[in-house]
Amino acid sequence: MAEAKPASQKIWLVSNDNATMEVDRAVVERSMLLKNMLEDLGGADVSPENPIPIPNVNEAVLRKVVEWCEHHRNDPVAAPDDESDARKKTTDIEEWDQKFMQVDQEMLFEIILASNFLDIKPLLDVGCKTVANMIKGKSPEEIRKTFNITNDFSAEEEEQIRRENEWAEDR
Amino acid sequence: MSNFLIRLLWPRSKTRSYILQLPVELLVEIFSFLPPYSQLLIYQTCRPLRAIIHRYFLTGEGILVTPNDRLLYLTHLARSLPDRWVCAKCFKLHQTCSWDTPSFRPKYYPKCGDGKNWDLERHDESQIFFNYQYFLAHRHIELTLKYTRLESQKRIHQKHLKRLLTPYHAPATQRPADIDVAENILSQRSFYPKVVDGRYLLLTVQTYLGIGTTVSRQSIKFIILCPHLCSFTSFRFRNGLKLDLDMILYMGFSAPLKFRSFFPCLACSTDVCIQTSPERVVICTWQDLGPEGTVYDPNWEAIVRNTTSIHHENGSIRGLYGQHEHSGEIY
Repeated sequence: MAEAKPASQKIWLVSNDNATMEVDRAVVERSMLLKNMLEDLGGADVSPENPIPIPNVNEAVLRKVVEWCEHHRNDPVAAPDDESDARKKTTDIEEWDQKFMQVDQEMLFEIILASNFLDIKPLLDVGCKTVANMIKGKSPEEIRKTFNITNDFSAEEEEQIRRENEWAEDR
Repeated sequence: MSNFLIRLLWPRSKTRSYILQLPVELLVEIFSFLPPYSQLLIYQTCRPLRAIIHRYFLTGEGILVTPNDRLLYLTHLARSLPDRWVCAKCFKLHQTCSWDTPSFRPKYYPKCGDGKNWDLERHDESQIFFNYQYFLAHRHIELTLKYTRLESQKRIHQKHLKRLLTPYHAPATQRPADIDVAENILSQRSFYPKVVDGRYLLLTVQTYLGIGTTVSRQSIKFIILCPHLCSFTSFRFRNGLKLDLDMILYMGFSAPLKFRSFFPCLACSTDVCIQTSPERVVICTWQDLGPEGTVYDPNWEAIVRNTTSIHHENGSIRGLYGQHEHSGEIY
């Protein structure tokens, strides 16, 4: 029988730049990766001296991710097969999450990468929706400007795009 | 094309684009939250993103199924094209004409490719039908907001924007064909367009001046302020909303000296102020015609097509427009 896990049980995480942070197990378990890992470990030695390493995620990003998990610690966990199209249909983001995502682009994309690595689906969704909302309502030129993308089309490709849009031109 | 090949297209430049650092599967995840018209616009940004859209999503004109999809695509495509406007009649981009303003009605308008006239028809979804002397079409709003946002330095754009935003005083007339007023009443309408916070606002001032006579309720036989506020009964009950304009006018003319009333339309973004005195009546309307968008934008739709209701706080549009001194002059 699996060992009981008190809500206040502490887990220690260490970022790739060697910052250790103490987090409630309930918060850590927002990450499916860490939840499964802790279950596999069966409550074995996670301590300040033996924290769980989180490679690819630096301290600043890890703190942001933990902040999000703290806020959403009591949210119901979605079923693994809850991949319905209904989730895709809206890019609405709740107010707290919108404020949470008001960060520079480097941090925004780091959060997306970290949530993907840690398997925190709701946070990944919030990140992806934030970027989708930044794209929505913009012309190709504005999208390039927003994300610092270089127009690398050749003259032939530009011509191809022009032909694809020919239907829109009044001739 | 495999993800490996898509990766080969990735830029090698030193300028950092964080979005292009994401793995392909995360970009696919992000783009899956976007409507098809938006995916089609990403398709035109750069080679790597074009390759992803090509591999994982549908492309081509055919994915723009609904009229609104097509208009949204065209509207966003034209956001960076100051010389184009979106025609909701033929679903194409037309070349702008610098003479084309709400206050100028040429004898002949250019035609769309399919032979339809740009000219305004009653109940056309791309024009406001109740301002008979100010032929405000959706393209005027699109261009005004676009020129303002782009801050184009091109002289032709600056001149056109100036014309689009110039106040217009329709000629003062007695018994004009389209405004039903009594004898000896001089009537005039002035229009003051303005852009505030990326929204197109329009202040309309209607003045009724008595010539050797006092202005009374009987002086104004017919008046329409928006599709929902009209002294003509069949309009007044549209959408089941009733705001008795007749009653407000009656109260105004029953007041001993001067009367002033502020009220909103309950179904569209219109604020109204009616001021009456024995010499003149001044009716101001402040209308919010929305941000850059299509003819399906709720603000536009509520005012023009009357198929959507928009609720706003009394005075909020007036407040957004800001102070405007007008005491009912006739120009």
